[in-house]
Amino acid sequence: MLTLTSLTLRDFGPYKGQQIISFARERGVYIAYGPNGRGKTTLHNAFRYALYGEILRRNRREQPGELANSESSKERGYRSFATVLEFVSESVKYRLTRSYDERENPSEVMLLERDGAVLAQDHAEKVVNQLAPRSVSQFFLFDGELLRKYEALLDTDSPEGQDLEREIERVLGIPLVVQAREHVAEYRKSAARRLADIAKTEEDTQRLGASLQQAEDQKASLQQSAEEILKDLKSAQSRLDELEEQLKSQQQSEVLLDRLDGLRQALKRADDNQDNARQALSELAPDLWKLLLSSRAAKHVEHLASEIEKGEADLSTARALERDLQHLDHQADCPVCHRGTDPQLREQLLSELRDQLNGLNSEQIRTNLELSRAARKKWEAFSPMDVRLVVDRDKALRAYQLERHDILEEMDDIEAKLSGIGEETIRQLRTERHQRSLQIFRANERLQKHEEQIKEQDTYIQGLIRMIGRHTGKTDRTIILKEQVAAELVKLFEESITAYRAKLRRKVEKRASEVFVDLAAEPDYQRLSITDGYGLQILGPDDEVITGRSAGYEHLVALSLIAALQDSAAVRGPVIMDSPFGRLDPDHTAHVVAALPKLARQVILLAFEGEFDRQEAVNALGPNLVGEYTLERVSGRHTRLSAQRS
Amino acid sequence: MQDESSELYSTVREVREEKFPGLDAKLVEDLLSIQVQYASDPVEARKRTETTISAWATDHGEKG
Repeated sequence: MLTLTSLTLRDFGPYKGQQIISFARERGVYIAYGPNGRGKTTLHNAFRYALYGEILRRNRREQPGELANSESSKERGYRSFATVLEFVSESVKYRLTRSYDERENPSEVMLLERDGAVLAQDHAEKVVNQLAPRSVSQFFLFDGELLRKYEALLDTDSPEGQDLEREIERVLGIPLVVQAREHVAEYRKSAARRLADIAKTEEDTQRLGASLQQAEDQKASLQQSAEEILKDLKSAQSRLDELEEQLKSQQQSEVLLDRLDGLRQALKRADDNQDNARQALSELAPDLWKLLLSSRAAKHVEHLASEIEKGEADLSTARALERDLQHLDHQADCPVCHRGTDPQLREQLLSELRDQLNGLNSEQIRTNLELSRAARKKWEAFSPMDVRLVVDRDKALRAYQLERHDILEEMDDIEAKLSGIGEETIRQLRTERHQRSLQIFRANERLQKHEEQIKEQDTYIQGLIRMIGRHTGKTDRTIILKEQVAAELVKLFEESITAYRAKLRRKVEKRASEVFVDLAAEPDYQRLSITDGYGLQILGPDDEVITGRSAGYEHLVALSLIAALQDSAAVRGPVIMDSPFGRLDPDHTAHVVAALPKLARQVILLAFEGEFDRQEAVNALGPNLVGEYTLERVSGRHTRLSAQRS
Repeated sequence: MQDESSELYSTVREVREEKFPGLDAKLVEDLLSIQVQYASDPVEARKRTETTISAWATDHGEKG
């Protein structure tokens, strides 16, 4: 169990001069905030460098000088830097110093002090590797990128997943039993061979000795053959996984092909619609020039309408006057009230009516009216109604053109996607998948047969050894005992591996589930279930496996696995995370921040400002938040680690 | 690896008691201890495994 006390940096990256980050308590959360480019990743790498003298993704052994602070190097005239990591393990204090000075030879030096005493270099490396094994550093020293690697394991049996599975088994201690079994098996084999050699020299057991040697040779041959089958099996499985992946994209291609067919039909319809719309618009083409006159025409129509109205009124008046005159010429009464009229008044009325009628030439009015009506009809041909028709038909044509353009654009897109994988390729992939599946099936059958034959051979060997035992002396009996006890031990370790693996899986599953429930915001996600390859599945209320989970949830499952592995002594200690929230929404980020104390005893989180609500984090973590640091800019090449709470 | 070791020991112990009661418990624990102690040095672990079984067989062969 390793507990950090402090990390001191001297001229390491942007951390100019000597700067210290302290870890006052063995339990709690420490957060360092800093904007992009201020040195968060360098600080994360400083922990890695301090422990292992390496930086991820860069070959430090070739260019370690690049880690030196450039301002200090310029001021001094040479490049140098150092990291000092102080920690406690099992009540023993350690101080691990790594320094670089380009003037020295060797330029990089590592120094490990245990309770103040300096350890020899070789021993120091071993001690560091025992306290914080480099091979399992991915479980306590990780960033968002590394978390994605876990997702491969959580979802499939990918090659990355297999590597990770091996590392997890290493953390859990399984290789110890595997190695014990292998060592004992080798010992048994050598004891059996020695016994066969001795038996061959005795007359009574000569034939049995030769048979034993032959049986051992056959067993070795079967084992070698089984190993080769297993190797082929793994390679075929790996290729099959690749093929499945490629065929997955082919499934997508089929969907795309269907869509393309649909689009081709839609394009045909759009073409027809476009042609019809173009035809309808072109029918209006001979009269399109009229649109130019439409405004003037409207004014003319309006003016003529008023003229026609006036003409009709005049004509009506003229007709009434003619009727009244005709009445007065032939009748003595009034044409309106039909009472008798005074002759003088009648003459006066006749005179006025004639005067009025003289001002109104009904023939002329009628002629003008006809002319006006004809003119109105002519101008009405350029009326606004015709303009609307043109606009509507033009609009329809444009809509069909736009629809056609969209269809063509989507077709281009799909055709580009489909061009990456041809039909012939898909057929080849399917054939190979079938062949590989068959190969795997047959290899499994052969492997099973070999295992049965090895067991039969073992029984036969034990029988031969018992027979030899009946004829041998004391020395030979010791060798027989060696072989027999070793054979029993091999079986014991074999069965112990299975039992131990099952036990550890249950332990990881239980712990990961507890943490996951705290991290997940979805109440229907009840627990995690572990697969043979340490993949973790999310289970719902009725223990059904939740499929199609989001990238964010993959992240949460990965963090839960890391927390569960913290129960193993090999990785128990601090967890140092660099911006691990990349794919989480604010709600889940807040959940993870609040649950940080459950991930490990000491959690050191490097985050950028705004990655989560700082005040909410303070409230959620309460007394578990032990230290807060900010990375402050002094200059472009100088960052200061400033303690806000420590 | 203290915790893993104790859990490993207890698992192997359970399997031995249940299925291989004739195997010497101390021999089994000694062999596991070698693996734990020399986890980072398999050559030494193998050498010590051989020595331990040989010594046990010699001792028990003589007694037998």
